[in-house]
Amino acid sequence: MKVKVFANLREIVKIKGHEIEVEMKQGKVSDVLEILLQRYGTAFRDAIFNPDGRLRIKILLNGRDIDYINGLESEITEQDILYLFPPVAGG
Amino acid sequence: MVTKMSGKILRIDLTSESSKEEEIPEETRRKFLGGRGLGTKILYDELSAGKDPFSAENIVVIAAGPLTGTKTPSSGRHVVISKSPATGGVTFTSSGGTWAAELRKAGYDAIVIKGKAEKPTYLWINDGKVEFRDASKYWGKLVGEVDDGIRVETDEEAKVLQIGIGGEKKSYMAAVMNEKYRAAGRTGLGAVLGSKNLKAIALKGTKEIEVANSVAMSRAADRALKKIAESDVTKEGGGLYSYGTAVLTNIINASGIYPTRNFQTGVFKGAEKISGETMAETILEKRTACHECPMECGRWIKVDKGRYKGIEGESLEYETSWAFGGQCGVDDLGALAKVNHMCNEYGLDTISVGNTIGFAMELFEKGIITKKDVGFKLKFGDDKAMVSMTELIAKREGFGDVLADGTRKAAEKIGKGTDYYTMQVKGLEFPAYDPRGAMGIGLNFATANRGACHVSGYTIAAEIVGAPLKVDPFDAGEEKVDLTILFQDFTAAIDSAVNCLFLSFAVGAEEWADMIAGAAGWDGYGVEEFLKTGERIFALERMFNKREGFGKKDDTLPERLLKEPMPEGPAKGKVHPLEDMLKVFYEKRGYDENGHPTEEKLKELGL
Repeated sequence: MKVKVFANLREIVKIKGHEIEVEMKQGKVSDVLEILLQRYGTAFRDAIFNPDGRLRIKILLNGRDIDYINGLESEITEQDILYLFPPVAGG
Repeated sequence: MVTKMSGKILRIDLTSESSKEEEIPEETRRKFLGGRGLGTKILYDELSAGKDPFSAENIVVIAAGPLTGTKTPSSGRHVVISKSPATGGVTFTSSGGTWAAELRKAGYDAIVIKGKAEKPTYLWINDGKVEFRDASKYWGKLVGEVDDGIRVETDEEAKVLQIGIGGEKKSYMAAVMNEKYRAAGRTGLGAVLGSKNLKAIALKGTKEIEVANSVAMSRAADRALKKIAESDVTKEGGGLYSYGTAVLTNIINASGIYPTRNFQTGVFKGAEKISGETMAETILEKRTACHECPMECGRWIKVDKGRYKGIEGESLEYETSWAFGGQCGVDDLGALAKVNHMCNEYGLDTISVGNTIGFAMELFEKGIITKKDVGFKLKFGDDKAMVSMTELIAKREGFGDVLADGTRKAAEKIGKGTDYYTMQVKGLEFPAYDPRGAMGIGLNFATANRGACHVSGYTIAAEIVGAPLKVDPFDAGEEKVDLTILFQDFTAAIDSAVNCLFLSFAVGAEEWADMIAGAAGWDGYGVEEFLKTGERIFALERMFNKREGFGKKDDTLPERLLKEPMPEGPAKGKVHPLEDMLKVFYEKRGYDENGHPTEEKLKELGL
């Protein structure tokens, strides 16, 4: 499956094309995050979680906020795209 | 109680070349604050129904608010209020920078302009001294040149507000520009100033902006600044600061509501190439900021390669990059910078110009208009055609004359059922959000008093961005209606305070109310009164529009968004459920079935 990262997360993962490939046929969003945490370390952890363990980023699964699917327990398959957005705004 | 918060209104009569000062009554200040509220009140009281927006009788108010120019954050905005040629109703349009702070330093909270000058004229307002000067040599000149010229003639430090060639030619898409790169862009008020032969207003002020209780105001401002510094969205190094407003491009596109090729879909393949992140990696030179703003969301860009090499300036907000990007199918940042620069120099609203060119591109794609009509091929994705059409619109030449008054007017001229393809409400073109995947913003677009305006009730903050709260964008129930109303009222109050709406990503109504209470010296002023002020202003705009014949028929969305399901992306299959939401909206607002405030509601609001 693919994970796309945006804004200042790109400065942490430093992946060309801003797309991370994660080998996973089936699992949950939390499983993907765990793989990324192991891969990118403390800076990545600090960027996506508050000190109290709450998510500080917005996660979209195929464009839909996971809060309106099943949160970190949302099921994913290898065709899915996960989008990780640090807080952004404008207009 | 007389407060120190306000200076005076400067009344200008262009016909007689005369001016006078006027105090703002205390009751008006407290009920309408300044900015949008004050301007709407003046329009409602002094402009009777049915007047041509281009007649000498139309009134233009340019207003600051009680917080403008103070040490409260992001307080450099002014609001322009008038009867719009695009919508036929009352409108407000605002801009940032430092012009408004200078207005207050010159001793005024607002300028109220009536009449029509005999020849092109500009105003030079220097610390309370008003001069009417001949602007004939600036007529037909570009915005940058006029700004430089007027400052040479007046004072190098003067702040210049002006119309461009778009306003001179009375385009319904003409902006009111200030400080070269800033635009009060929407609803064609540059054309109203053009109809009055008023080219520019240059200001210089050295007076101190007095506030009633500077300790109380500063205490509230410090709380606001702390919230800004702590928010991941607004803090130094945060998303808005680092990537500008175009940081929205990717999240709006991923959410499937990035209007593409005239709202035919909500997913644009080229979005990444024109995003805030790509800008930061390629053409960004530095950040820019308005008066007392820690967010620094402005971008100074420079194109150093390709066909548009050499374009430089403050440029490419999110809405602009969308209007010429997704809407026209162009994914070349250099081309977007070029047309943005052109719109700045000609004094045109980037959102409406881009939207209108996208509309024409769809007509071309469908064969409704042809090369014979346009003079060249006007295909989606063709940056050269987009640049050429922008030039023609600005000069009202060739097919540009057909498009120069926006989509609604263009469809009237072209006929053949082309009104179906106009993406506008009440005559104002849509900005960069497809309501089929965000139901609150759709309700706001339909009910906003100036037409399809995102900043009348920016529910995208909650529906997509999640700041300061998060809601499901697909929800269309009562809670979403409540949220939309709250955003509309909060915004009307902010626009009257006047600070930047972007503060609201981090700062709440409590801080705003306390900043105003401090500045004005009002006892017992709190959140409830602040929000009630917003509700009152929104209702007064409705009453102005009712007098002009507006009703439920105007609170609508383009048929495409109500009937054509979104073809792909996360919102696939959805249309906007407006009718159901509108009924609840009217009930909750205390409006009748035709969308007008009831007698009881007017009484409650003190109107």
